[in-house]
Amino acid sequence: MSVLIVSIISTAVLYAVSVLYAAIGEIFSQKAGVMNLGLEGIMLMGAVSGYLVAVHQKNLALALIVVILVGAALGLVFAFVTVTLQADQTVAGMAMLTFGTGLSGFIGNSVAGVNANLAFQSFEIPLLCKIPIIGPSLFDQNILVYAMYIIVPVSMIYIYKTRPGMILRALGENPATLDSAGYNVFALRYGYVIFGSAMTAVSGACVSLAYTNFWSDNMTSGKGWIAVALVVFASWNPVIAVFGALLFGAISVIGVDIQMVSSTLPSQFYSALPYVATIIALIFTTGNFRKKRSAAPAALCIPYDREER
Amino acid sequence: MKKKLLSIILAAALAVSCLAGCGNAANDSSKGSADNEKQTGGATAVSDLKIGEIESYVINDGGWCQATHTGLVNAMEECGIPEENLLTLENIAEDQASVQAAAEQLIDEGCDIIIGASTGYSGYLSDMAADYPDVTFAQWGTETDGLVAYELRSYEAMFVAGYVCELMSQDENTKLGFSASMDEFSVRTAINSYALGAKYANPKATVQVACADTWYDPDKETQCAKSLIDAGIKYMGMEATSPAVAQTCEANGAYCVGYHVDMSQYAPDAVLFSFTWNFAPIFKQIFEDKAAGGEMKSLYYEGGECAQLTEFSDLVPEDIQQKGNELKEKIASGEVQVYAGPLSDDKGNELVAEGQVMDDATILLQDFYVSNVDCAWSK
Amino acid sequence: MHKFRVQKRTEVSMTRKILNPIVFVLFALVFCGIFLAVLKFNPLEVYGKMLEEIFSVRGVQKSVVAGLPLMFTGLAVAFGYRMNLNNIGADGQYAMGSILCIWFALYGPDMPAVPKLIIMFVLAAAGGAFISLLAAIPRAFWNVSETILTMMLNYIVLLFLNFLMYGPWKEEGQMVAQTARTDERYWLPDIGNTGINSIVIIAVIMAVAIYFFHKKTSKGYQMEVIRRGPAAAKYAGMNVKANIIFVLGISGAIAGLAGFAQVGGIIHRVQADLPNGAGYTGIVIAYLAGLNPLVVLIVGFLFGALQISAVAVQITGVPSQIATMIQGSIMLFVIAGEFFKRYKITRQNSQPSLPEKATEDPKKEIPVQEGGAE
Repeated sequence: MSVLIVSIISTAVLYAVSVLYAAIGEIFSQKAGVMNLGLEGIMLMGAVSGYLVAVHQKNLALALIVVILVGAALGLVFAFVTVTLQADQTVAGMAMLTFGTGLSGFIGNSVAGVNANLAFQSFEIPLLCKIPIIGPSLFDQNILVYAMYIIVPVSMIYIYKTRPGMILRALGENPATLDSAGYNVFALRYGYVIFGSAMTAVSGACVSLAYTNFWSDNMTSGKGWIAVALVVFASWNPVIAVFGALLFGAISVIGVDIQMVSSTLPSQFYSALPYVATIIALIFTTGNFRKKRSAAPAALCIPYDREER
Repeated sequence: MKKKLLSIILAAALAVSCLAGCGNAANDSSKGSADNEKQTGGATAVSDLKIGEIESYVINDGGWCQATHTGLVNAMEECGIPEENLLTLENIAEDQASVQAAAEQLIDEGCDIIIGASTGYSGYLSDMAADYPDVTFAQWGTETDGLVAYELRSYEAMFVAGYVCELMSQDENTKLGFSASMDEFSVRTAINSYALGAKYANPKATVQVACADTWYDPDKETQCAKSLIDAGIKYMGMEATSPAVAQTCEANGAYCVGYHVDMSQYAPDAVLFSFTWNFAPIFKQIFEDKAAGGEMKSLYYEGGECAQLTEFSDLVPEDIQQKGNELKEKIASGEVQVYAGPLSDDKGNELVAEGQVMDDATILLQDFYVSNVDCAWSK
Repeated sequence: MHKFRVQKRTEVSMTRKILNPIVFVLFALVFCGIFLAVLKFNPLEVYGKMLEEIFSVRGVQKSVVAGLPLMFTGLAVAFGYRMNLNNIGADGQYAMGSILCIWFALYGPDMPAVPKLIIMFVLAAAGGAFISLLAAIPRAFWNVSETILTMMLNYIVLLFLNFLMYGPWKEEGQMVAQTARTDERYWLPDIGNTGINSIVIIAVIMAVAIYFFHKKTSKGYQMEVIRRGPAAAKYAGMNVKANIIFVLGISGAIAGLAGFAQVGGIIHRVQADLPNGAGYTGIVIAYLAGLNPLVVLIVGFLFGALQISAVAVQITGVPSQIATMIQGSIMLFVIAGEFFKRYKITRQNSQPSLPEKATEDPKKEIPVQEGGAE
């Protein structure tokens, strides 16, 4: 039984991390007031660029660097369109999604079906991996997972306990105040959008270089949308995002386990469970039952325009 | 002002299309003469055949489309048909407009045979078939009006796969696994024949199926493989397109049978061997029948060299390899029939009586799961 | 050294409104043309072949067929956007509409064609509305994000469709994951000899109806006020909650009618993954059309044409992903181009025009003086 629990947790963690990079990146971006719905497209671009480097250069570190740069570049474009040109963010996101999907398929043609044979391997952390249950499930993973263990608490501290974090929150709540105080709202937003986009690209690399090791057209299969949903579900809080991602991953795996044991309900029912769970959880965590303030950054999706003050 | 703008735009568009039209005028005249040739004679040389293929995904998808495409290329080589006579259209959605557009393009280019590589095209191609009597529409799977159907007796190979897996797991436990994509006839065929093969080695063998409910989703496939492994299963088959199942097996000390193409490159320490579609002999038959003129069969249903397993890898012990090869020969000679009675489904109903063999039509539809299969899709 | 200033335009002329997106579409095509050139294709030849296909008779027929579901989903999404509600779930609503529609067509009582088709129509709309209402109610009452809700519902409905198509509703004795064809009596006829189905007329009537709804009715006016500021609307006594439910409900109903279009007019059956992303494309279409229902029809047709011509151009060896790339580039360039519609770049030493409160967001752009014509 404990073996089963360890397995469920470790699969859930592996899945969760591949979504969390994008989700946490998007949390930063949305806290700064910019919503990027095109995560799927950026993820695919990250996946394909990382894989291309792995196949041609055989170097994982280089692949990761390229992935981050590609993500940053896409983020730059997105920031330009939404922050400087003040375009509608929902649609800009859809544009990024379509464009990223198409472009990744285009350039990925040369490596589809080619085996890079190069992925982030999992390794145990001595001592910690001996802790019952937690040990083997959390501390026998690959480096991208371990990095996430650090990124999450650092993000929390940054957002809620530091001065730059306070500025970040202000960016998304009331950019006009920041502007009058002399901060460059545009540059800051650019920075966070680029960061978010780079993180999202790493999510993509998780899929082609860690979780599985290959490239195929559209291989992220909707993960970008899950990341978007996760951000709202988590009320823009990285720690809650972690729980949400783990929940989603765990329910998916458990769904298959149950389906194998009992066949009273159709298998599609169990496949649908994670989504149903997300809806229910979403209503209860973000629902405004007592007219309290919504957790959403007040200036989310509203381009900052000096003349509008 | 608006009207002026509109007229400028329309004029520009017309101009561009005229220019493009001029460019294609040369092609049109040569197409005309090619059509005349076809109408006069019944028989054509095989090497003159032009073939079009319509794929739902990309041809280097490492799975189904790749297998179809490779089969066509190999068959063309054997028949002496030059490479440029194969026209490929990828990513064609299974909706009316796309399929029609694809087929019309191929017909415009003078294709004699159009291959619809996915069952979803059958309805639309069938509707078009009547308008193009000179063109043969060959469709994977289903016997439909106006179409020539082709199918592989994949069960012959999967039977051996199940047999070998069961022999390998004899010492440990008698449960085998299967990670399945969708509840569709070809998947059911794979599952059932795998299970029957296992039963042939060990009457008490059972197969546990994990249902992914998606043709393609590496996450889901990984989860299915993991669930099977967690349930204590060490040997599994799959019907999956991505290498996710194979890679998960490798990471967790389990073994699997690849599907669609040789998956050993993705997980050399886990893939025992793979089931591959060898469409070349079937396509060759279709080409030759077409070239000869006259009636074509409505169904090309072949096994033998069409349904092949790759070489057993070193992971399979010598003695088991030998037994597997012996079984292959027995199936080829007809000594062993996969769907031979007594056979019942997992609800206990009898499918085939003792001493009898299931007929092709029932095998094709495969609307059942055999008795030793445990699958959530079974109604 | 001259410095450049960015200045808001005080008014945006009709010419600029039409010309702007077209110019940026052309830029997008040039951009994709560069990719094509890198791959050693002649962009003009490629685009020429695409246009040739679109303007042929059979090309128009196919473009309409491909574009019809997009027109409906585009209308649905645009309707929601008019009140700043993100209906990302048009796929699921379309699927549910088609499910109810085919259910009645195949398993309902034997009836004459007209009443049967009317009920199929109503059921398709009801199916779509049911799904969107599942998202509308939490949004209206508890301010839960309808963006995420509608998206999650997509997955759930599509899995349900999957279950039906591979399971109980699969055509007897057939292998393909689709239902049987409906009885020929229940097929909507084509328009004369054009080969174009009369369902197009329904789409046009619907677009016109929506157009007049926005312009002429008081409900339409209410939506406008709420969009500009929910607080002010409540002050004026408008029931914001009821309006949200109304808008999302209608939006879902329209998307569900895409299912009726398929079952009644085009393929006369339902297959697994029938929507095939039409809901997401609908978002793109709604935006590019400036939320104007009449323009949605045109843009929907053009996207259908793009799909068809991309198939056509594959013959010359262009990769199949070109259609998605063109779509994405067009979107990116057009929304970037919105900026140039609203602002002009002038030299530092030119006379600044009097600052006037011009409109800011394209979604909110309904200049009162032009009667809201877009």
